[in-house]
Amino acid sequence: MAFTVLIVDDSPVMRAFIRRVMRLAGFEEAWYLEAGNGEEGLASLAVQHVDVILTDINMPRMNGEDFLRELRKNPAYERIPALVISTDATHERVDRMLELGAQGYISKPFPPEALREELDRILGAYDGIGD
Amino acid sequence: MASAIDVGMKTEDSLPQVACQVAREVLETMFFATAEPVSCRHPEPRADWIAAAVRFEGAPCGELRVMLSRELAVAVACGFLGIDPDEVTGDEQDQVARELANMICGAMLSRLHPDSHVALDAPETIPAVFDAAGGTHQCMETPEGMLAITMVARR
Repeated sequence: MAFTVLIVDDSPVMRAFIRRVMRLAGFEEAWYLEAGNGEEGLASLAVQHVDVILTDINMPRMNGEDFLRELRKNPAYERIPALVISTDATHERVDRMLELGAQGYISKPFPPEALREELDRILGAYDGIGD
Repeated sequence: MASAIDVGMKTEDSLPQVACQVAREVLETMFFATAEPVSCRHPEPRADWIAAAVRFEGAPCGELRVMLSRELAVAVACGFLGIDPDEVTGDEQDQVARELANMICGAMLSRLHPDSHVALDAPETIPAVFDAAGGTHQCMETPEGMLAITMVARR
């Protein structure tokens, strides 16, 4: 299944790691867009359709919380599933990101299988992936 | 004597025990490396070690620091990025060390204080000078080199 993933994380090595884990998890045919913060993520979405968003929380200029708020305010983006990948696994943070519209939350460290399971769950719930 | 980080901890384990558990889990899961706790063997300041720190604010607040021998920094960068040792740049070693600090810090705080609100700052590269004053420290040994973890509370 080919689909396009937007990775939003201020760490270039973390973005590279996520691409690597995606391949290890069996998503060999995915296409990737990358952004270093929420502002850059929104700019990418303005010019390119994506099927799923993987986003960090702690980022400069526009963090993951504000990024999710902006996504859910915009009818063009509100249905794009978003998965949070963060080191912060405190209950308050997880609950807040899910309330803001994230479809899933993975806390680091995580094995490739965890990302596979979450993406299968999230993408399986949406129509039109890979069209 | 309990530190500010000990207060309200939601675990029976001591801070060094949690540091060991978390460091092992992070290294195995994200960096494909193994580590065992050892008695302290961190060096005097040395140019061939690298270090990174993450500050956290909230309840509790403080800083977590990691120091890695250069050999371990190269090995974890290779494991993290899936590349060969001769492909790893110095900048990638620093970036991966910052990610390691970030993950160990986030995982420790989530385990110690799961109901608290704690915000992590962006991780920074710092001089590799050992200073555990007022904090808790744990050294870990891997086949590739040494890792020193220090968590310091601020009041």
